[in-house]
This record gives sequence, C-alpha cells and structure tokens, in this order.
Amino acid sequence: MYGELANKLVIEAKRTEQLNNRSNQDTKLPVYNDELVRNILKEVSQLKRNIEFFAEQQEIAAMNGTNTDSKIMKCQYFVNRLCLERNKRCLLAYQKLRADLMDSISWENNGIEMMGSFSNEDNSNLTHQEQDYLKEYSELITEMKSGELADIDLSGPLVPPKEVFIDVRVLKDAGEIQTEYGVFNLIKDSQFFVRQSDVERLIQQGFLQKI
Amino acid sequence: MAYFDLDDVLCDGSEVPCRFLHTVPGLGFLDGRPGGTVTAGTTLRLPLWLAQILAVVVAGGEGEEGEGEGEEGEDNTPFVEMQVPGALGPKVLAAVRADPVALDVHAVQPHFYALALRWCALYADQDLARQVAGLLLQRAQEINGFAVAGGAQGGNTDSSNGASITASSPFLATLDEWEKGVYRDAQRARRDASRWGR
Repeated sequence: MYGELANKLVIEAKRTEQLNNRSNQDTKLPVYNDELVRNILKEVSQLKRNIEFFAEQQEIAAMNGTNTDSKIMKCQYFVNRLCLERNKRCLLAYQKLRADLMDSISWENNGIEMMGSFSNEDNSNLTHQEQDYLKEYSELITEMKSGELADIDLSGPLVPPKEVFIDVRVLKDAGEIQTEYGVFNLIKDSQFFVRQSDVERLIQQGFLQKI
Repeated sequence: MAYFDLDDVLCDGSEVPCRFLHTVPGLGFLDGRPGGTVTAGTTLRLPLWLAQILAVVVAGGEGEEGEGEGEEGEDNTPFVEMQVPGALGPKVLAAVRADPVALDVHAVQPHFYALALRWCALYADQDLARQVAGLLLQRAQEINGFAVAGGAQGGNTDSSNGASITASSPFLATLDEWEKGVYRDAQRARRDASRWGR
C-alpha cells in the first residue's frame, strides 16, 4: 500500500527527535536514509503517472459525454492524489527535522569552524545538499554576528559565570593570544589562569578546556 | 497542528475502519491486491489521512461548481463511511469511565488525544469530547504528581532533564505522546519554580 514507506521514514525521524530530546549532549544526526527516500520518490513518480492517467481518462469521458463513471474516476483520482500528498508531507517533515537539527548544530558550534572540526566522521551522515545547507547557515550566523549585532555574544551561555577567572588547559597548539593581562603562548598541555571572557571563544572552538 | 509536526504526521497515519459506499476499480492496492477492485460494502482499514477526506468529499458533483450537481443531486453519499476506530470505541470508553488512571492510553493508541480531537472536530461528538476531557483532567493530576516527585528526586542535577520517562513507574509508561509532553512541561515548571524559590 502506498504511504507505508513514508510512515517508516517518519517513525525514524520521531526516534531521532526523541533521542535528541533525551540526551543533554550535542545534537546528533543519524545517517540520511537515502534508500528509503529514493524508494518513496519512486512511489511518488508512480503515483504521478497514475494521476495523469486518471486525469486523461476523465477528460476523455467528459468529451464523450458519458457521465456515469465520473464519480468513480474521481475517487480513484482522489486516492492517488492523497497518497501523493501524504508522501510529500512525510518527506518534508523528515527533511525539516534534519534541517532544524542542523540549525542547532550550527548554533552550538557558534557558526564557525564548521567544516574544519566536522570534516570526516560527522559529515558523512549528511548528504551533499545538507552539507551545503549547513555551511551556508553557519555563514549566515557568522555574518549576523559580525554585522549590527557584533556587540552582543548571541551564542554565549545564558547562565551568568560564577567566577571571573578560570583555569584552562590547552588542547591544541594555537600560537600566541593577546589579552588585557598580557600575552599567552598556547602550547599543547600547558595550563593557564585566565579571565573567562577572554578565552570563551577558544573554548568553543575546542582549543582550550576548562578545568 | 503544524504541517511539519512529526506527532501530527504520525497521528494522521493511524488507521480507521472504513466501509466503501461505491464500487471502485483499481483501488485494490488499499486491500493488498494491486489492480483489484474494491466493491461497495467492503470494510477496509484506511489511514486517517486518506479516510478523513474520502469520508467528507461527496461523490457527486464536488469540484465542478454546480455543473454536474443537478444530474447527480440524489447521489450525495461520500466515497467511504468511517466507523468508530477501536481506540475510541465503546470498550475503551468503558475503561475510561471505570478508571481513567489505570487505562494504558499508550497501548490503546500512541496519539490518543490527537485522534480524539480529530474525531470530535469531524463529527462534533460532544459526548466523546466530554469523556476525553474528563479523562485528561483525572490523569493530569496524576501526571503532575509524578512530575513533582521526579523533580524532587533528581532535584538539582540537570541530568534528569525531564526525559527520564524510562519506566520509572508503570503509570508513566501508559502516557500517550501528548501526555509525555505535559509531563515534561510539568517537570520543567516544577524545577524552574524551585530554582526561583531558592
């Protein structure tokens, strides 16, 4: 029966949503279910052919003036049409969930360094179009933050910091950074006692770790 | 009822028994017989997204704006006739009357309230609406009780972030999808309130 594959897809999407609701960790996207989507699309083109056929039949019947079968034809037409709409809705809902998750990934990662930090493992779950989407969405965030809203750290935490100064450990070499209190040379595995607001960005980018 | 809402999409997929009022060739795939004919009087389980349109659209003259209506005026039956789905049937309603809290709503239908809402909207079934509202009222108190208790246990740690519905109590396993949302909201509200009070 038409629409069953699409139902499977939505159930999968629902599971993804629940998993992401449950864990407090970073948003994760499962692998794009290419095979299922492709099969649904096949179904859609089949339905389209059916619909075109029925529409043609209806026209022919109307021309011949035989009105007896018109409601039956309409029923066939409707059923196919509704199956088509249903498949469309399921596909869109699936894609919308993924798009939403990608949005929150971009926000979590502060809209920067997306392609760099993600390059291998995580990106394989996305299709090419989705990778483009993610990249462009991240660019949009960066653009917005460097534009009129440059003074506000939009992706900063909403909870006020408990301490002004924190201990951090360097995870990756990052060269020298300059702060009000002097210059730090970030060498891997060294530790510093620095002002939190100075290093916030570096923590988000994964160079430093708060201890 | 957003277009992209997954719960809404899933609710639309729940099946309702329908009786065909017309013989329609070529719809056999609904019955698992591709290419076959569905004869008038056959009862099939159709998903709601299909049934609710077919049951409302009138077979004669619809969509032609007065053109064909005169000739087919007497034939105003819809394509199918929906029958009450099992989830809203007398058996379940009897259970609702007996003990709302003991009813395993999730087992009856994971989207029970959404389905009941559709049904009430379609058929203006006031009696059903009243019963379901009563059911919710009873269960809401219970849900809130559990949410408060759960919030007190996992109190300050944010790790119990509202989603610990993993069979901590048999009652919580009986919540339908919408009720789970209510439970999460209640838990969050409770946590926020206690944080504010501190």
